Amino acid sequence: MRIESEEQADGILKVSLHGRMDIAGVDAIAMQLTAVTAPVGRRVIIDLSGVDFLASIGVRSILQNARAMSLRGGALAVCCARPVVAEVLESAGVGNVVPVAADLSAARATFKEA
Amino acid sequence: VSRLEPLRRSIEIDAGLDSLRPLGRWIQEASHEGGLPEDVAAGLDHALHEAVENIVRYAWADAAGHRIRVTFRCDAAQAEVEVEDDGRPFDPRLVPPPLAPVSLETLVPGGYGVAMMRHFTDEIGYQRDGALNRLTLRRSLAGNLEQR
Repeated sequence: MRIESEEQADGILKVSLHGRMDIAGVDAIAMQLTAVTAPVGRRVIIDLSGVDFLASIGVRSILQNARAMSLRGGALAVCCARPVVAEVLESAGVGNVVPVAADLSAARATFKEA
Repeated sequence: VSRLEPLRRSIEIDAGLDSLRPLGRWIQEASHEGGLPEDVAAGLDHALHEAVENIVRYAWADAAGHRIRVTFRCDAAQAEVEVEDDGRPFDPRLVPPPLAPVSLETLVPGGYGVAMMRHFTDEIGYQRDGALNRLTLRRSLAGNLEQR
């Protein structure tokens, strides 16, 4: 699994994940994902368009990062999930606690509402 | 996407987390060979992954040396994956659905695997047969795939 992060003009960090987000996938990106989301008050959008498989351990990783960021005054949103990945997010109720947006601009808008 | 000739494929894997990736490739190939729609194939891949991960983690005190047998069957009406292991009895149908998370502060992550198995199947079957657990994940191919 691959991770790329890209600073946006409005101070938001876009983090793009690529590959199969299973145990091996989460292992491969966990340290880097934690590092880029660590700064206090960081606002991050995870772009899931490159993820074709999201296991329960991947859901857990997203939620744990979201919780850690929230405790540090930051915020996490996810966007751009493929249909099967969107179904996984829905089955776990992720949208109750982390904004799940169809695209990047909708994800960005969730930070303005908050 | 259309053939849907009856097809049966079987594989036996080591009961280890390292088997999950090859198992994923195997179910994708079998689904493709069976002509399953992509959304059904992706859903079965997810459901099977969670089922087997649970077995590897919880069926034995030590999974080393144990094997898991997986059989894929499909015809025009349904696709089915059967998973057999010789671990302790476990009927995932008895696992209560996880509480929907209400806030990040109170979140206790977990329980998503069985929720995914339910989400991506139309029916989950379980039998204890002697020393074996036999789990079946069934997905109907009739009609309303588009609305799921």
